[in-house]
Amino acid sequence: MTAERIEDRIAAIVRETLGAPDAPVTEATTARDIPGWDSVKMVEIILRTEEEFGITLRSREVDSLRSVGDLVRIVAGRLAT
Amino acid sequence: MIRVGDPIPFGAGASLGPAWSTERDFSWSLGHASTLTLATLPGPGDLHLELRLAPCIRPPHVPSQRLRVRAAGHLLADHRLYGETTLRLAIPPELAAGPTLSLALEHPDAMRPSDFGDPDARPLAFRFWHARFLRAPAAPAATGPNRLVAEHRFGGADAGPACLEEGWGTPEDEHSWALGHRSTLTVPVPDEPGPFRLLIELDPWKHETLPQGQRLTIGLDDRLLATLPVRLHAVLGFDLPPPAPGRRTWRLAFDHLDGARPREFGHYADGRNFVFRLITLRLIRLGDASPPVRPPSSGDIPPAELVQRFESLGCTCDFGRLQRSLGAERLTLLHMTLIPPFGLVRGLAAGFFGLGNPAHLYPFGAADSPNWRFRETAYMLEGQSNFPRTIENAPRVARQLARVLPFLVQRFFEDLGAAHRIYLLRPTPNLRRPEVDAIEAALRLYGDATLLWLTQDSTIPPGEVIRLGPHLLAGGLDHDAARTGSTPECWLRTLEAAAKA
Repeated sequence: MTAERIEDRIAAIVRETLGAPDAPVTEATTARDIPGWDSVKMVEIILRTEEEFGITLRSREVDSLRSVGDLVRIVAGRLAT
Repeated sequence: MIRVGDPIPFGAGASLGPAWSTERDFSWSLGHASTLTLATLPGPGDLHLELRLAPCIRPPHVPSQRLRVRAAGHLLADHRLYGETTLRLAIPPELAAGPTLSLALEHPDAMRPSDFGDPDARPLAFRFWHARFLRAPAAPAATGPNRLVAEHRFGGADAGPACLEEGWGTPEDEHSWALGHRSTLTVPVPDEPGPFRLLIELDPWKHETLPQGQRLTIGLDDRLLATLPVRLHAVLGFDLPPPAPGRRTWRLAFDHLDGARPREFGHYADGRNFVFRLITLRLIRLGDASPPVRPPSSGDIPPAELVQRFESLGCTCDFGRLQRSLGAERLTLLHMTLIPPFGLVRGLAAGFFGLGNPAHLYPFGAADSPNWRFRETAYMLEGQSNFPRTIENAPRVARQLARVLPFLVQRFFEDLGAAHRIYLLRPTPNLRRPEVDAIEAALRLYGDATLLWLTQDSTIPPGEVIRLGPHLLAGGLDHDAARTGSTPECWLRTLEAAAKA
């Protein structure tokens, strides 16, 4: 799966979880960019990403998340191994 | 469709085999044996089955009934039940994988109420209200230096009447009441050398005429452990002397002055002299006491890095806001929640088993928030949801938390196992040292953690930290300034002092 495809699917998860269908979501998007993206929503985004791609994020990976791009890179790395 | 966490009623409509009655809201198991078949539920994590039930008893002639539960050769439960209780059975993976779970119940003490003057002549054993499947994440690896070697419960099916001596009421669902002026019990000595810390969970009988709480003197054999008043539900931790060779039991004694009869206060017609509910005794073997190895802390530590070296044990929302303002907020279980100290010890001892079970989650409104807050009743965790307070949002709170909390539990124990953080303890009201010792011992079941006790009194100046033990720090904090968030320096000074202690 290409990084672009992963990014598209994660962007859809972010928009759906936050109830913001029109929010612009790019690799650079962070929680500060979209209203309502709090820590609980972040957990939901992680859980839905895990379910979508059939992976489980490690605690250290969760700590390293700062932007949508970080999540895309972790998922891409996991799917490549 | 039945989902994990949903109750499966035993009343009319439940699919039960022979040897069951069918009443409107429950069913009796009849005679000496019965069978029960339930459809299992697929999913990740260990499967557990909860059964809500009560024995048919007629004290003093029939004070209890025995119950054994087997499935495909596995003995899942073997209890003597004295009253209404909830049994939780761990289902072996090979049985959980099947489409159905068939339980064989043995209840050899079934009795006919007609033998005691009641009209019902059926041989009644247990009244079952409902069953409920629960999925729990795999138990966290308890790889810390401390080890839980024994847990004695004093309520329901787990009550150990054999070790309760004088001064106790009949075991109830979750506890046994200490009555009168002296209560004693025996505690089995483990088959290994110490040192041990004993954790006593108790809840005093409270009344406005007893503002000081219940004054207790606690002794072990001929040694005084403590004399202290207990005003709130608490867990007290005490280091025990090494047992003498060949010693099989310790004798624990509570002397109490303030027992009160509810009848005299117009509460209800109970004339017993209540002191406290004894809920659980836990015995923890203390491990290596050498100080932990943490990242070097000389020189100034950047604030964003500093705050990430700490993790909250609840009641520190202002610390969470500080982390957020520094762009260093972490997804942790307790950083924006309230949890009482006894709930924290329970959670640590149980690996927060079942946290997120919808049956234990209740939304409620608070005047200072437009969103639903929630309370969890197994560990008394309380927090804020992100759902506005509308009727249709109420069930969404539990559905969201049922997913989020198990994830955070798993992370909490992963972090604890990594053992490089200092855990912030700021309970209100202030704690006494035995309560802090209980939390410290439980925290170190999972990792080489250090506890920073942010005291609520003025014995330690704000910004200063003293070491009370190899893994226990006490720190002063200007709590008023910290809560307003107006001066983050007050937090940072205390945290930096702790990081360098």
